[in-house]
Parts: sequence; C-alpha cells; structure tokens
Amino acid sequence: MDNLIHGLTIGSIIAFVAFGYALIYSILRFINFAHGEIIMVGAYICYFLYHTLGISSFFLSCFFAMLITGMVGVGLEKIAFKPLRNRSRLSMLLSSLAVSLILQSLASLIFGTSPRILTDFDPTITVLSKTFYVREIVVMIVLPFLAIAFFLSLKYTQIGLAIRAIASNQARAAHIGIPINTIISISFFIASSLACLAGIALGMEGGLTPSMGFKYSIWAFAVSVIAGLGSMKGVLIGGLLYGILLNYAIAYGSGLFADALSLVAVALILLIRGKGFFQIKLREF
Amino acid sequence: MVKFNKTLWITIVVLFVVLFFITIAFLKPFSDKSKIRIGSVLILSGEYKSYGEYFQQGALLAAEEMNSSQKQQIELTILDSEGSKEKALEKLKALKEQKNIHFVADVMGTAMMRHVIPFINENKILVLSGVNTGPELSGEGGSFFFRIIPSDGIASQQLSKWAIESGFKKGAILYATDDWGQGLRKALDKSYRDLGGEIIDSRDVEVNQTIFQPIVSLYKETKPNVVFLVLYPKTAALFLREVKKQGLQTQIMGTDNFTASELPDIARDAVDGVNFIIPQPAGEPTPQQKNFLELYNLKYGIGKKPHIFTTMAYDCVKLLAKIYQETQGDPERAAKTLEMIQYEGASGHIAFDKNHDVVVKDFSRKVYKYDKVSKKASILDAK
Repeated sequence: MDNLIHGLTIGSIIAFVAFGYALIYSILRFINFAHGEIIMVGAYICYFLYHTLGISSFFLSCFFAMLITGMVGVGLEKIAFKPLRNRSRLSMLLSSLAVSLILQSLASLIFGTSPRILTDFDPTITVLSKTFYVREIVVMIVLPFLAIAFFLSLKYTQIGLAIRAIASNQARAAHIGIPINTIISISFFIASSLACLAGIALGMEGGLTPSMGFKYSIWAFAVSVIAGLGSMKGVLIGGLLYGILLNYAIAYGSGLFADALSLVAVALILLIRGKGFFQIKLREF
Repeated sequence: MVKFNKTLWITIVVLFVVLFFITIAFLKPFSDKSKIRIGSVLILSGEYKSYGEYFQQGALLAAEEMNSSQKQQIELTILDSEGSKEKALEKLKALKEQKNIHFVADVMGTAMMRHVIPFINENKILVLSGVNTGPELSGEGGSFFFRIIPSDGIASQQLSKWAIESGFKKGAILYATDDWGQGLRKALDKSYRDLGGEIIDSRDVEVNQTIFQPIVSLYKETKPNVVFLVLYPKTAALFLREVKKQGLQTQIMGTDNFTASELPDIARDAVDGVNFIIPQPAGEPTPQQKNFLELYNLKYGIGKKPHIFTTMAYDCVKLLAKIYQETQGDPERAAKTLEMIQYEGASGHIAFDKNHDVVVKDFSRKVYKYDKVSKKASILDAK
C-alpha cells in the first residue's frame, strides 16, 4: 500500500514533465529534449527569487518562478525552434539537444555544481497514519485538477480548439486564420510552467544541481514513448503507473534495476506496439 | 657562387620555420631542479567537487607553509579529472610529460586510482593518496602507490565493532554502485558477520537515486537495528530524510564521507543522531595537529574545523616534499624510503605496511547533533 501511494506522488511529478513532452510533440511533432532542463531552470529561478532577490514569501517565489519559466520556455521556442520549423524535424531535435547542453552549462557557470538548498520549509502532514510532505500532496492534488481543466479547455475553449486544430493539420489551421505562433507560445508557456512546478518539488526534496532534471526527463520521455508520443491522456495515466512501477522495482529489485526498467520498457513497447498504448487519433479537417 | 633568388630565400625561411617547430615539439620540458615539483589529480568539478576542494585546501596550505620556511620551493600543479577515469589518466600523463612530475599527492577516487595504476608503475610515478579507501588498492597498487588513509577493510572493522558493541546485531547495508561502494559493502559485510552480526538486507543504490520510500518501508517491516550507509552525501541525505519522514527507528552509521557539508545541508534535522567514524586519533591534539589547526584557521577562518581530506592532503604534500628532498627527486629511492618511514603528521602517526597501506591509526567515533533553534548541525564525539 505504501508503495502504491508513494508511487502516485513520484508518478505525478513524472506526469507533469511528460505532459510537457506530449504537448509540444502534439503541436510541433518533435521531441523537445530541452524540456528536462526546464525543470532545473524553473527550480533555479525560484531559488534566485527567494534567496537572491529576497522575496519574503516562498509561495510567491514559486508563483513568479512558474510565470518566468513559462516565459523562458516561450523565449527558447522563438530563438531555438521557430527558425527551424520549416526545416526537417531532425534539425529541431538537434537544436533542442543543444539548448539542453547550453542550459546545463549556464546553470553550472552561474550557480556552480554543488547542491543549493531551495528552502528549509518542507512541512509534513499525516493522513491516515501515513506521513507525506505537503509538496507531495500539492503535486498529487494539482495533477487531476490540471488534467480535468486541460481536457475541458481542449474541448470547450477557443485556445483548446486551436491547439487541436494545429495538432491535426498546421497548414490548414493557419489557412483558416488560427494564430499558429501565439498558440505554440501558449503551449510552451504551459509546458514550461508545469516543468517549473515539478522542479520546485524536486528541489525541495534534494536540493538544486544543474543535472537535477536529467533522471526525471528520462523517465518522462520513457512514459511519453510508452503512452504514445503526443497523447496527453496517455502520459497522465502512464506517468502515474510508471511511478508505481518504479517504487516496486526499487523495493523488490534495486536502484539499478529501476533505472534499467525504463529503458527495457521503452524497447519492449517499441517492439510490440510501435506507437505506444494511447496513440492519438486526430481527425483531419 | 650561389645566387640567392626569391625561391631560395623562401625555401630557407620555410626550412627554418619547420625546424623551429620540430625543435619545440621534441624539446623536453625544462626541468627546474631547484624546485620540488608535486602534482595532484583531483575531482574539482561535478557533484563531488567539494571533496577535491577540501583536498586542495590542505595541499595549498602545506605548500605555502613550506615555501615560507625553506629555500627549496614547492611547485604544486593541481589538475581536474572531473571524476572521469579516462581524464584522470590523461591529466596524470600531462603532469609527467609537460611538467616532468614524478611525485603526486593523490589521484582522487578509487576508480580513477585503479585505472592509472599500470601507468604509475610503468613510469615510476610515486602516488601518495589521502582519500582513496578502496580495499582493492591494497597490494594491487604496486610499488609506487602508498596511502595514508586507512583502507575500507580497516574502516569496516571499526564500524562493525562499534555497531556490535552498541548491541546492534541485525544490520542492513545500502551501498553505492561504484567501485568504492561495492568495495566497502563487501568489507563491511565480512567484518560485521565475523563479529557475530547478521546482514538481513544488502542493496545497491544508483549514484543519483532520489526514491527511498520503498526501501524505508521495507526496513520498517524487517526492522534492522542498524543501517550502514555506504552512499555519497547527497544520496545519504535523501535517505535520511525519508527515514525521518516515515519515523523509522533504527541507528544509521557511515564512514568519513559523512563529514561533507552536503549531508547536513540537505538532510537538515534528519541528520540528528547519525553515527560515523573518521580516521583521526581521539584525545588531546599532538603538536603537529595544533600547528596544522592554527595554520588552517589563519587561512580559512578562526573556529573552522578542517575536513578530514584537508588534513590528509596537508600530510601528503608535506611528506612527499620531505621525501623528495631526501632522495633528490628520485621516485624509486623515494618509494624505498617511504616503506621505512616513521612520520608524525597532522592526521597522526604515519608508517606503511607491506601493502603500502598506512599502519592502522586510531579512529574517532562521531555523532551529528542538530540544533533546532539555530537550524545547524554539528559534529560531536560520540560517547
């Protein structure tokens, strides 16, 4: 039971990151490898606001960090991906790898490689004789709310419809007057803000290092492939299941076994079901 | 008579240029015999750079002290291996080929050290280590490797003894998956069982693992009296936080790497009560220790306590310099001299056994205490 509950908390963070992969993939059809580093960037921005600028409230720092990280995501899209949109997907993929390396190096240069402590404030709460960190509960509560809000907005709002239209056929969406650039920017903003939230949760647990996002980005990538690239419903379910699986793998195997698990799972899924379990079915219009 | 036309002039100039570069390329590095040249290959970047920085502090302190009091100056060259075996070898080669250095105060990291052993023995490079504890290095190090820090074999005996004396007869081991972690795990397993203890769980932890909830939950069921943490500070700190969160009532024990500041920084109040041993004699400080502490406080701040690696580095550089002077920089003679040495250092008495391991020193038993008011952890002598 413990493994199940804790698996859900880990899975929620993975789902947040995987959600970003899926969102970007669904509209631009490329895997943004720099997304993992956005986790780290978000956490460091929060650290900068809270410690360097001295914003007195940690929650306020988190809120501003999410906004700023969202804008960083939009900025990166404008600089690194937009000029390459009409070229091959491989060039965007390579560009995302370059951005990833640059962001990590920049963080090392500015903040160094020793762990930085985000905050001493990390309260716990006991629910049904199980103790949780409040941040774990926050992530677990925010995830379903976010999922419901996102799917409702996809169905019933102008922006949601525009995202679906772009995901379905970008050229036709542009033809009927959908502001492609704005919608892509909004998507990058959402994906980056969520990655920031995941980064803050991770930073509160284990401190901040330039490589802090690496492992979660690998797991989230594995979840994206298993779920089906671009499937947002898939990554949310897949993320949670993956978190539970990881927990059991560590409990009854080892740390190395859990790591190998992600790679084996991806390989198997690609072999058995090439496009994942929740392949997106979009109607052409 | 030869006519110096344009082509001939150009040919002569080109020949001179080529000859100049060939001469430069093959010219052996100029060796200034008036200096004691000592090198170090440390980890100065990446997640474990704090270890390298601690060592660097001690090495610089020793060099500065000796340079201010003697004619023959120490020239210390410190290079960064970035924690990579291949880079460690590359840097060691650079020390030899570019600076003609044959006296090295450590190649930091057991894995890195093991990787360079064939090179140091082929090229007669004397390495004196103050941080590498891997038991495999005993004997495997060859004629030119010595260490002043006890091997994990010795540390594990001391730790097991402490656990058994405290009545902890049911233990679990969590170990890092690298050479150091696996070596210490094997040694601990053996020494604890030899003393009558039972290891009920032994599992590897990936170097950057962040998930410990399943392991702590398991320990709540299996109830070990003691958990030996053979982990790096950050990973150990995350485990301690999970222990605190789940309220696991068990004693946590570790070795000298628990002195790194990352452990209390990340674990915070969860570090309270953690036991560990360090290879430093307990009791009244010797004159050498007092002198070192004074120098350290003068340079790095009054009241600060040096890290164990700083102390070891200070001894490594001073001892190497002494041997260098006595043997006029001949590494073969220096190795023979080291085999017979009796030296009083800041880390205690130094003498080597047949495997070039330091003859066992006293270990101190330490405990972390966390002050809830100041929110700071301090290291105290354990009772």
